[in-house]
Formats: sequence, structure tokens, C-alpha cells
Amino acid sequence: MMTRYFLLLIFAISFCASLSAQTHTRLYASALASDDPAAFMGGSSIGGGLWTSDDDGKNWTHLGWQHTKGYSVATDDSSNGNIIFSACGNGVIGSRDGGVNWRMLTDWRVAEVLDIYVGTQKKITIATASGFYSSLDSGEHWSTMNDGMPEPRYCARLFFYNKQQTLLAATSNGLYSYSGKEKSWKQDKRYTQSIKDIDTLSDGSLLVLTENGALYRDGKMIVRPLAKRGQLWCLAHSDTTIIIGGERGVFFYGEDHVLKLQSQSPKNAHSILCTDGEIFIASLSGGVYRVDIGEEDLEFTPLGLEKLQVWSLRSAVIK
Amino acid sequence: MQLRKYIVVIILLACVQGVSYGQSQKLKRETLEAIAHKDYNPTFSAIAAQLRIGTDDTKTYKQLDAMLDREYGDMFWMYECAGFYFSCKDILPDSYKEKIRECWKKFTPYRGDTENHFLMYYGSLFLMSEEWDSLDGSEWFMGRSSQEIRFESKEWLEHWIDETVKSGQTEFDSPRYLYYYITPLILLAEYSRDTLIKKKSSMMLEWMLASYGSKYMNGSYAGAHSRESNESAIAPTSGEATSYGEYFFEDSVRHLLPDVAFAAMTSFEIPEVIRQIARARKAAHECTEIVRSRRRIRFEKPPVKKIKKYTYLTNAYALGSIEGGIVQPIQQRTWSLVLNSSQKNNAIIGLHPYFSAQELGTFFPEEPAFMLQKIEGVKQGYVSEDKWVGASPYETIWQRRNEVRCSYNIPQDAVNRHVDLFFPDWGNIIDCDSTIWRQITINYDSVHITLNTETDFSLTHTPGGYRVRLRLQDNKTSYWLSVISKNDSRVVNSDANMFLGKDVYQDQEFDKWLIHSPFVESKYGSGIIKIQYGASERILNFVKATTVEKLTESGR
Repeated sequence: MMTRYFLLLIFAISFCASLSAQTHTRLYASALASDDPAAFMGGSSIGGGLWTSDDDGKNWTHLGWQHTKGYSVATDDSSNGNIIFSACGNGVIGSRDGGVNWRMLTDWRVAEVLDIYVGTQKKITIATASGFYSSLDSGEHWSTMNDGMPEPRYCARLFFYNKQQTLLAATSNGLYSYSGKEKSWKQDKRYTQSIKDIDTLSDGSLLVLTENGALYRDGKMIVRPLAKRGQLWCLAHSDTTIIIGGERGVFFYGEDHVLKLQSQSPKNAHSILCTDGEIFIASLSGGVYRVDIGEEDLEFTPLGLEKLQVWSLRSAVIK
Repeated sequence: MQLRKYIVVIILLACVQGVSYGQSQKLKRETLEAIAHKDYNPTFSAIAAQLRIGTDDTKTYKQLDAMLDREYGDMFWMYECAGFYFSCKDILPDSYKEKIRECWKKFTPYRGDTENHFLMYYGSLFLMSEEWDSLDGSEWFMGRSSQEIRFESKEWLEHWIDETVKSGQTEFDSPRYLYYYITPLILLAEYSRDTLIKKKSSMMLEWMLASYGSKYMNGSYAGAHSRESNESAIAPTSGEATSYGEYFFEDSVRHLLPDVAFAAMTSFEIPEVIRQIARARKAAHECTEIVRSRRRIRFEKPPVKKIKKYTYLTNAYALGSIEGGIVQPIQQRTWSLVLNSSQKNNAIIGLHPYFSAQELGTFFPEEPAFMLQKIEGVKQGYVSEDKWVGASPYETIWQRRNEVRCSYNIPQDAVNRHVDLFFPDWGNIIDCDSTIWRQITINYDSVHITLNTETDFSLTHTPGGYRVRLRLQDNKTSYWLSVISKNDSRVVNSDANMFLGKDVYQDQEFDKWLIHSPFVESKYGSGIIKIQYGASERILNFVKATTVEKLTESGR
């Protein structure tokens, strides 16, 4: 009997080990353009696009269209990284074969797609510089999704809040949540400033970062805005540590509840990704960095893409 | 019955007689020759001219190879490539046609974010999807079939035309970007197989040229502008639009840019009535217009604002403005006085040299603070305190015919806290008192200009002219500029109302008209544009997609 249990245990361990050996996290970096001074804003997107890495950022491969202003990317979780949606200045470009072939999914009405959320049952939501659209058929058809959202409707971040099973939008007018039942956006009155990023802590509490540098936890301000910090753009957490990126670099909010600028950090830190215990930061000034949490400070290791204005980092689990 | 037929024939004959066009074959040939022999950085349009004229084919094809080998990133490549393809289709070897086909399969040009970008993008996609009309998605960079691309492009083109002729343009009156409207429209008007798009593109071209012609002054684009460069701000004939202005309105082209080759290879000729408006109008008159702001994505609402635009034109000068505030980012020209002169620098302008992350963030989706760090790489001079283009949120402008008053209330935290005016240095300064009377009077040929300022100013030499710099007092300053020419009988004398913002055009309702002048008029929202000069009248009816030209009663 003991032998049978022992064999079963060995089998279970080896099965799990084989599973974990076959899965890994794929990183996606969306870039606006190269670091050429003229490749910037408006019609300039030379060098922009989508890059991926299957080895924690050591090597990067360009995927899809050249010279497209890339803002964000999302994958269909059920597709094992095959169904990809790239949110671009041009609209949404989609691939169904892991990035070999691509197709423009939106038309002239849709521009400057700043973020994308892929839900269940082929539902996609996109946030643009001037409003929201949704598709119920994996991007084949789109309709506007602006009820309840006043103009201007600039939104750079969509976030699915698991605790409330709600889609949140970080807009220049504040934080909004979408009610699928009422098919309408509703403002969270606690956050009426320009919101840049959202995250949840392990206890489900909601972190909200405002553009002027205030950090809220479940509606309570835990970091006050301070002009000298410059504009703050992105947020993530790891255990008890909150990391915030912005114009002046990366800030570290530890157990002492003080937001400290990391002197060695990359400027214009625009996206932070915490995945599998690793932390990555992307900079508009160029490059992706791995972040290691030291005793008091953060350490930054450059991982490449240093000549690209990287707007965002996303990930997908690949089997 | 016989009599009725007879009358119909007579009317038809009268209509036909009324239609005449410019652009002789001689001008077209000379333009092509000149472009073919000019030493440009290689462009598709210059290469097309060289092939058509038959210069050094070996060198030309080498340049073409280079243009087709490197993937360029945007819609500027697209419209040029489409223009080249259609202009030279009959003489181009099949191997090059195939090479071009491959480019449209593999290259992934960016669509951009402005009105002119979209026109170049969808205009060229429309033409190319008509040419290769039954390919599936795998043959196009977008992954869409020819039919899908054609449908979307046509939908956008119709939407843009309808919106523009009814509600006004956002990139209005641009001495730079008009060039990038005229070229794609000429290509669509000439090469489209779709009769509706062909017709409407031709009508749009006429409408844009009529609007331009009604503010054209000897190569200069008069009035306020949505977007222009620092150089053309003080030397208006250096703007790209001048190249087309001279081609369409004059008998020779001095400011020769290569895209005009595309125009010279088409059958399009400007109706004589538009040419006359540009060349022959003499009497002083007013032109009021409604234009639209660029879409504002943050900080302001509504996203698109209706803007009043006014130009007072005489034979000697044109003074034009829009209301103050930021309508277009970075390159706006809020008011200008253009002198009808052959001098290179013939514009008088004024501005508060404002810049901010907020201005950039209002119109562009990237992070405002980051844009401000990088802006100098792409729009040089934006943060300069000495710049000559750009708008300010702290500026209010009132104009009444030959007078303009600009007032400024600039807060302490604004970066550049002064106001500048540019005066060309070929004028004769009659009087300059910077602290007591605070007045400058200056003559340019027959034009007499008086500037009165609310605060002290300095006068210094700057390339091409004088810089008048006004200091602020309690955050404020203002100036009043009055122009008089010998032959202008309609000038007004200043009175208190002018300083209260009364009886100025900004105070008047002219929402009824999209454009209203003795030469071009259109009721707002109608989509019908009347172009007239003397006895000739041309009606562009965009609702019915018809053009009618006739002689009016006075001309028969």
C-alpha cells in the first residue's frame, strides 16, 4: 500500500514537473517608435511595433507590422499565445497564428488604440484616445461603448477588477467602471482626477495612481501628490512592495510607507510588469529592464530594446 | 414645342461657352521638364517626371530601385508611390509594376493621425485597390481583400468630403499641408475608376483651390493658418502650397516642388473662374469662414470646436485672423498681415511664444511630459522664446477690417512671458517710440501701418526683419495694429468699440455661412459652394455631385 502511494506521489511530482517545464511566460513589448529624434508623435512611427521574448527578456524578436505605433497587446488566454491583438495607432491588428499573419481588424473610425482587454467568449474591449469600442466576435465587428462616459474620453488603461468582476477604465476624467448589465460606464466619485494606472493587492484592495502623483488604496490616499516627482504613469506591486514609474524614473514604496525615487532607475518608466516573481520595467527613453528588490533599493538590469520607446509590457502563459 | 427646344439649346450653348480652363499644355510640359532636370532628393514624383521626359533612364531606374527597396513607414510613401504608378503605368516595365505590387503586400505603412495623413492613406489605398481589384487579404499588407480596402477607403473619402464641405476643414488654409491635399485629390480625380469618387475629388480640388485662390496674393497665402512653418510665417511664398498656387494661378512656377509633376501629368485644369479670383480681384472685401479645431483628446471639450475666421483683403494687403486660443497645436498662425509685394519677407505677424506639455497632451496621445522632452527632435523651435508660429491660450483677438487688436493675460507660471511681433526690414520706419507714446509707424510701399502697444517694447534686428518685443505689466499687454493703403476706401477709424470687443467680427454671428465672400460662398451645412467672378459662376453641389458653370444675367 505504502509503495503504491509512493509511486503515485512520484508520478504526480514528475507530471507537475513536466508541465512546468513546458510552460513559460512570454513577454510582449509594444513600442511607439525608435529613438530617432524625428520618429515621434503624429505621423512618425519609424521603428515602432511589437516585440516578444520567451526567455525573460534576454532576447527579443520583432513580431508583425513594421513601423506601427504600438501601444499595447493582449492575447486570448485559451489560444496558447496564438490569438494576438495588437493595439496600435492604426487601430487593432490581429493574428490567429502566433504572429505569422496579421489582419487589420478595425476601420477608419478607430485610431490611437491605447489599451485592449480580451475577455471571455470572444469579447474584446478597446480604449482609444477618444473613446471605447467593443467587439463580441473576436474583432470582426465593433461598436462604440461610450454611454455614461463624458468627453473627452482619453483612456490609456483598462483593468479587469476580479474582486468586483468589473472592467475599470483609467481615464483623463477619473476612474470608471463598466456595468455590462446597464451597458454603461459609471464614475467612481472617489477618483475624479486623471488616472494613469490601476492594480490590486493580494488582499483584493484596489490601488489607483493619478497622473499628478497621488496613490490611493481603496479610496484612501496613501501617497500625496508632489510636483517634484513629475508625472507618474505606471504601477505594480510585489508582495509588500509597490513600484511606481514615471517621468523622473522608478519609485519604491516599501514597508516604511515612503515613496523613494531610485537613483539608478531608467527615466520615463512607462510600464511595469510583475510576473512569475519577476519584475520588468519598460521605458519611453528606451529599453526594458529587470528589477531586483534589494534590502533598501531596487536594482535595474537592462534587457534590450534600448533603442525603442517602449510604451507597455504585457505577458501570456505559453504551454 | 420647337421654341422650347430652341431655348434649351441656346442655354446649353451659353453654359458651354462659359466654361474655360487654365494650365496650357505648354505650362504642363515646361513644369515637367523643369522638375525632371532639377536636382531633388529622389522622390517618386521627380522620378515620374524624369521617366516621362526621358532623361537619363539608367540613373532614374536606379533611384526607383532605391525607393522600392527600402520600407518607408508612412502614408507619405503611399501617395507618392500610387502617384508614380498611375502617372507612369503606360511606360513602366512589367517588372517594376510587379515590384510595386509586392511593396503593397509587404510594406506596412503607418496611417498617421491628421486629416492630410488620412487623405494620403485612404486616397492611395483606394486607387491601388481599384487597380488590383480582386486580390484576397493575403496579397495586401493590411490582410484585407481588395474589395474590403476599397469599401473602407471610399467610406472614409465620402465621410471626409461631406464633413469638410458642410462643417469646414480642421487643417484649414495651411501654406504647408495644402500641398498634401492637392496631390492626393488630383490623383483621385484623374485615375479613379469610381465615377462618384472621381467627380467628388475633382470638386474637392476645385473647392480647395477656390478657397486658396480667394486668399492668394502674388504667391502668398493670406490670413490665419492652421499650420505653417517658422520660415513661411515671415516669408509666405516659401510655403509648399505656393508651388501649386503658381502652377494653377500663374503662368510659370518659380517655387517648384516635385509633386507638381503629378499634376502636370493629369488632364486636370483649373476652371478659369478660380484663376481669375486668384489673379484679378482688386476691390477691398471681406471673407468670413467657419473652420474646425483639431480634435482635442484631453483637457478641453467639446472635442471639436467651431472657429470663426476672418480675412480683409485689398489689392495691397490682406489682414486675417481667427479668434484667440489654441485651435491647432504647435504650428498655428492666429493672425497675419500679408503685403502684396515681391519682397521675400512680406508678412507681419504677432504671437505669444507659448509652449506646454498641456498643449501637446490636448491633441496627441503620448504622455504630455515626455512629448515636451522630445518635441524639439520633430518640431524644431517649439520651445523657443523667439519662435514665429504657435498659438497661446492667453491671447484674445479682435479684428475689424483693417484693424486688429490682440490682448494677452499671461500668468506668472507661463514660461515665455513676452509678446513678439515681426516686421520685415524693407519698410520705412516713420516713427518709433517704445516708452512714451508706445507707437511704431512704418510704410511698406503704399501701405501705412501703425502699431500701438499697451506696454513698453523693444525693437531689435532679427533675420529678415525687426522683432518688436512687448513686456508685460501686471501679467498683461496688448497691441492695436492698423493698416491703411492709398487705394483702400473702406478702412475704418478706431473707436472705443474696437477696444471693448464690439463691432468686431468675433462679436458677429456668421454661423450661417461656411464661407462668405464676393467670390466664394456656401451656406453652413449645405454642401453647395458657389464660386463666382465677374459674369462667371460655378456651382459645386456636393449633395448631388454635380458641377454647373454658367454666365450670370449680367454676363449674357
